[in-house]
Amino acid sequence: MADLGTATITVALALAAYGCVASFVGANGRQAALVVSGRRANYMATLALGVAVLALVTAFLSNDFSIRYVAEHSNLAMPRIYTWVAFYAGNEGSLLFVAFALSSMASLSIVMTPSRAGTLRAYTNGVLMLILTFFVVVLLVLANPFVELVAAPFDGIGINPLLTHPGMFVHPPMLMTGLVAITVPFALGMGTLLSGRIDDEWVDSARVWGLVAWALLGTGLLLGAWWAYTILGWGGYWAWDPVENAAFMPWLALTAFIHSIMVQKRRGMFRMWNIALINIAYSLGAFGIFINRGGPVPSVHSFGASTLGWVFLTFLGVATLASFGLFFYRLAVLRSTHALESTLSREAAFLVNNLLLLGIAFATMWGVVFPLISELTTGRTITVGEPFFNQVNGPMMLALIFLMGVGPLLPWRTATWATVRRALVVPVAITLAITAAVAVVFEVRIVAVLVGTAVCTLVAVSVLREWVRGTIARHRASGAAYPLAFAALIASNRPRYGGYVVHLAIVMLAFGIIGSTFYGTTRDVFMRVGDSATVGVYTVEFAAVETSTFADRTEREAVLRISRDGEPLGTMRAWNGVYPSFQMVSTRAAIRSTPVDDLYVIFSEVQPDGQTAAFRLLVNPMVWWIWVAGPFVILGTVIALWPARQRAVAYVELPERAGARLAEGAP
Amino acid sequence: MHPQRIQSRWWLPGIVAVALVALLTSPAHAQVQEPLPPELEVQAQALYESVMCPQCAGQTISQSNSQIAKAMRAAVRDGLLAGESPKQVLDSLVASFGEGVLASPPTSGLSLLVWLGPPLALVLGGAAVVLAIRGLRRGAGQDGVGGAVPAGSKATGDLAPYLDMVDQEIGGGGRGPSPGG
Repeated sequence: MADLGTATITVALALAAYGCVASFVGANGRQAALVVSGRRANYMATLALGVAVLALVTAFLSNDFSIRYVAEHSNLAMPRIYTWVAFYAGNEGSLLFVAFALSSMASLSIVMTPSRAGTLRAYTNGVLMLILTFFVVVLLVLANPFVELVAAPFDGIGINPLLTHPGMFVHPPMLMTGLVAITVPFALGMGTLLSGRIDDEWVDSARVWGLVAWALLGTGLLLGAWWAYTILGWGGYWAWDPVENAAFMPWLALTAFIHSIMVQKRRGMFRMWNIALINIAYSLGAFGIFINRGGPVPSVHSFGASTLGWVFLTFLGVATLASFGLFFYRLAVLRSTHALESTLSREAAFLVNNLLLLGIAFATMWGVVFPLISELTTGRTITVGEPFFNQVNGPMMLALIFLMGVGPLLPWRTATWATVRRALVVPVAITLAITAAVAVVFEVRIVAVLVGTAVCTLVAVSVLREWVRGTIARHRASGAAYPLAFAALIASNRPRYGGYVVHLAIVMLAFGIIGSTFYGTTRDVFMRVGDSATVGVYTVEFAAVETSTFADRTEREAVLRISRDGEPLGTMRAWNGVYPSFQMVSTRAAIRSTPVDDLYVIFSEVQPDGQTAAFRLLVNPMVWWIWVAGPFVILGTVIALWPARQRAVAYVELPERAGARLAEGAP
Repeated sequence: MHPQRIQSRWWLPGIVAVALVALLTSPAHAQVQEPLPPELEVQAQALYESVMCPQCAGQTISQSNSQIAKAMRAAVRDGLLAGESPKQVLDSLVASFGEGVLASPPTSGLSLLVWLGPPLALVLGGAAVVLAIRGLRRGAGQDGVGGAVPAGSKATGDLAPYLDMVDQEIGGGGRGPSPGG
């Protein structure tokens, strides 16, 4: 297996390098055969890496401890299902995963790019293969997962127990795939610049792949939050950890990109800006890979300590310099065909949206790198942590949500204050009424919460109002039943209404974050079996502790009887596992989740007598809404991505391009 | 997961070790702790969230379950029970562990830059957006494209790339500086 793996990685390297050279030379010299072979090299590289992936999986399944990576991340006791997680639990395996994911998306995106894209497709393929070459070189030379041990040990070390959680099956691969998925829209942007074609051909593909990367990253982040909430056991879901931030920043830049690319799609504007944005997103993605795999900052994600930092730092530097160099070189041909007509228009609102998103990304970056700067310049160690990010990013996020409510009400091109007032007056009135009611009923006295409630309500009201009015109008016009009329409304403008679904999901997320941030309660208590403690409206009684011993761990479960205002709500079980060989305690909280609040009990520690234990009791209001938002984000993205009926468009090629098109050959 | 690496980067291991021993052997930790009075519990939880665990890679002592985090939580409790204000508790932690133990930097000295950076960037970015909007709007008057033809017009939208391409083939004379400029 080891030989097969190394051999296929070598083959993939040769194919990627050839694909890169063939695409660039072929596109530059209009040599059809070269361009076609470059594209096929792309597909074959995916096949080769696929075989390498299968080889590593086989090695794991057959307990081939002669391979160092398998010996370090698996053992005989590990359930076979965790092979999926062990595969990317370390540097080498995760890089193989990243290379395979990148290669698959490179192939898929090139297959999906229409042949009419001409040299754009060839140059894009070249850029994709160049980046793939980098990853495969690192994989082969510096982090080969198929390196063999001199003598195979009888048993392996095993998998880090923190990783044995359902969330780990999806969270890391989604984030890794999301980070490398930005490569596709980036390569399309670079391909556009390289080909010198100044049309908007790249826009449709870049929007689709930008949305794919955005949804993958967003879902990956949310799953990471869910994993942290259910297993990391401190009662929170987001800690502004450097690695979280590193994945959050490209997501922000992508959010800006998928909005601003719509302006180019609809109005032919922001051409320079969109290329610059995707460059920023890609650089931030490369920074994310660097922070994650190179680890210059302490983080809870330091699972695979590595010496690859300088490699990814170099890659980050080269990618940023090269992309912006090319951007400035081609600046002159990227001008907009249309001018902005009014400061009061949706185009202008998108610019403010971009400003705020990049503002949050900048503040986050600033907080991540400032400790490094401080240490390098003054030698003083400081920490920039959660309070900083909450206080700085919180207000900008609220402003962004406000814009989410107002922006869609503004028409394209131009608006007058009178039309804006007419569009806003009803939603604003409803919003103010609801906010006032919330303030009175729930006795809300915190300004940030009131502002948050108001902006979130504004978004929900303006989206729902547009849906209701649109549905009624369609029902009257066509006589269709209301559900059908609503479906027809959604289908009539998928990018817009898919976006609205995502906006509503963001509102749920924001409500969850606001509720749990400002109204959470925490208590640390020691209880003997039979004791009880109260937290918020809940009473928790420590009924019993059950112990079971395994080869690698001792598991304890605390049986807890829960009641609210004297009314019993049943029992919960909080889990605690001690792994002597890792010198580690892993906890799994007992969580009783409702839309109003979560009762969250962490079984942190057992005293030597086996009967007294430390618990942390939390009441986290509205966290439920954060997890519910996830499926809606995905639903909205799918609606926005769902292909519309092909418009009947006749494409006319300029004579010179016709040659290039013939050179491209039939697909 | 890799305390050695982080220690060498962050903290003087000696200080940590001494503090750890001192805290672990303190009588308050040896026994099961009595619950704090509710108002002190709120203060204690807030403090846990604003103090970093020196050895746990970016976690606060609220998040971490390591020995040192437990010991530091015990120190916070003891301080509060002894009648110290949250500020005094923080000050004594900073005295033993250094400024890096604070989860967010103070708003003074060099650390003030941390807090000023993002608002400054937002103001500069805002100025750039205003300039961009002005530039784009002035373009509307001069270019003639946005002004003369209805901007949403299909014909302009579809032909514009080709017109630009023609311009470029001619030599890019009429449209902005030449590439590289």
